[in-house]
Amino acid sequence: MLNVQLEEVNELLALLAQTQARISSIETTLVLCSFGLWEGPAAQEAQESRRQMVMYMNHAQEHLATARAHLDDYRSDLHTAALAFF
Amino acid sequence: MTGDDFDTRIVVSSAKTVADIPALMCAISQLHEAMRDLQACHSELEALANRTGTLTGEHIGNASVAAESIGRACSVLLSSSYQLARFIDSLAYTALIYSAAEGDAATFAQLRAWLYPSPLSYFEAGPLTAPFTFATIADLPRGRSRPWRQVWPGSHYREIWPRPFHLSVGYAAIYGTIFGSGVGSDPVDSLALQFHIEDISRSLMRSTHWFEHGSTPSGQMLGPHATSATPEAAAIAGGAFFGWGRLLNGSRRSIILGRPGRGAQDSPAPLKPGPRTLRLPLRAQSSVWSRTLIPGAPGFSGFLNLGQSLGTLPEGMLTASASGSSSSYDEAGRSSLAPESKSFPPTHTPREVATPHAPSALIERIGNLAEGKEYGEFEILKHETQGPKGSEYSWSIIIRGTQEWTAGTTNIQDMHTNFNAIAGVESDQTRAIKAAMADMGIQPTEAVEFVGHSQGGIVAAQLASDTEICNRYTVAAVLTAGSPTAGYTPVTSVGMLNLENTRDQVPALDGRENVNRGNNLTVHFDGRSLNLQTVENEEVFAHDMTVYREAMAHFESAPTVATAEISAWMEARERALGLGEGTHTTSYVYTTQRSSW
Repeated sequence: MLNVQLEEVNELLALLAQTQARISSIETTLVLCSFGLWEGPAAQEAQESRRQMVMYMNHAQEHLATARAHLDDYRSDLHTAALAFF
Repeated sequence: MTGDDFDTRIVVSSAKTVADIPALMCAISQLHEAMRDLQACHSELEALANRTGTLTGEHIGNASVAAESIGRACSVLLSSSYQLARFIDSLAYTALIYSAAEGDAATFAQLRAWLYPSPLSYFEAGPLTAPFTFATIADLPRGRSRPWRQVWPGSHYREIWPRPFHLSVGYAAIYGTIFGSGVGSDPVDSLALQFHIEDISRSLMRSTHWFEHGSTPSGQMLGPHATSATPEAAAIAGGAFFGWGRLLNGSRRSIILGRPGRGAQDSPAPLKPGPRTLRLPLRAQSSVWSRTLIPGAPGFSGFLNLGQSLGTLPEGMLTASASGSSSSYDEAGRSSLAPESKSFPPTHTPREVATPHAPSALIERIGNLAEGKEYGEFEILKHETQGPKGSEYSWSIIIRGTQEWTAGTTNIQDMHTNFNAIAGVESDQTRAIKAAMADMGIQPTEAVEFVGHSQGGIVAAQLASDTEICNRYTVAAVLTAGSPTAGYTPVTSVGMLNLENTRDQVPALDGRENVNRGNNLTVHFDGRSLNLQTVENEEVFAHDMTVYREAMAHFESAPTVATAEISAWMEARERALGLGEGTHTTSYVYTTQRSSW
């Protein structure tokens, strides 16, 4: 039973890491996509919107990091319990 | 929709605007992919949150917190997806506006088909679209450097083989139907139509031989030096409408200008004593005369040619009629006004009104002028402010749009005035307003602004660009709403602000975008995002004054970084007109009517 749970948690952690990496990649795309020589108030507004979106995604990443930390703890607890059982 | 949605599709352009369309399109292409990734991430996280929530055991506390955190991340990503979708939409709208301004119809059509795919935009994009029609363009193979061009071979086809007259007219008719019904509209209809208008004009001009141009139009360029064919085609159409109007609606010898009345004792006094009406004599002949032979369209050529011939007949053969090209001033510079003794029904009493500090209040005032009558109206606002040296005056001239869809009837706000205004040729409306300005006694040092909706806006831009006006008055600002003003570049201290709803096809009738015009600004917006509805719960017509008033009110109440130039224009306008807390404004409404005597 504990083994099954450990496998499940490991899989969830792997999926989480994969999603975090994809979000990082999206953030990079957002930060690096160039507007070329575009100038003026509209360009400024676009830069500001982009900055806000990156900030939002950073928040998402923070939540995911928290989730990851708790899942890690959960796995450690499971691991400890498994060791104690054997 | 909310104000935020409206803000997504607003583009302010001026001579200072620097755009990099290929870079923008590459950015949009990359962001589209990022958007798909983001949506996939959101779905994955949702599944992950569900699975984490089903974990069991003694240490379930940590798993629960993890599930909650993933859920929060999910919500944040959902907001981010919404933001990113709006951002891409905003970039797409901006790129299309800039692309239209560059005047490259092929590129514009391709961008439009890519960003706002529809059967119509696909068909317009190129001659070989059939194999791709109704496919999802975003899914077709794209190149990295020019992602919007890969699906269409021969992007310069349009320049090499210009569209024939009939095809252009067909497209314009389709857009007209979309405009009238609102069905099938996309956010850049107006920009697409303007290329077809220019195509029609080019077809006309390729087959036209000029006999006489008449007076040189102010603000527009005709003939071999012209960069656009539309003003010239408008001059031809105006001449034809003039002639046909003369034949069908009888002779017109003068414009009768109804002066504001004296009013009650406690009301503001009229300017100076005088007759109730003034008569502006008209000349008999049209100022333009040409022959057009459009291959395959003999009926249309005949309509234009015969109309122009009727317009050039000498006085007496069709008695007198309205001219589109005579001056309001005689050779000595005196206003050519003659007192009129006959009765002229509508007389308005001067009255004090709220000072229009906000431009939206000016647009609101346009709606108070006569609608659908046999006569026309325009309003002159006199602003009086106490300064250090006594009373200081400034003026707002408020002009309504087309009221008569033929030519040569009694109402001068007609098709003849429309065509003349686009051509840059003086019309009965410009003559009447010039005469009223002289009648009001506006001094050369007093700031004047012109404001108009639709035809009123073109006339406003035309007057502000007029040499006579510029020599006699200090034109401070111009505000137009839904008007085709391209080609006019008034030189004023504040500049001209052109409001253009990109679902409204009237601003497209000049056949080109407003570009490189000094300190003048064009504000493009998607009027549908305002979500305005009539009392019958139907969508407000794209050209309606309400759309423009509400858009202006939004710019006033919710400025953003992107609309900073509008805010600066508003401040400069109020300063130039000297409008303050203590300003008193008096309204003078003039009436106009063509007369057969």
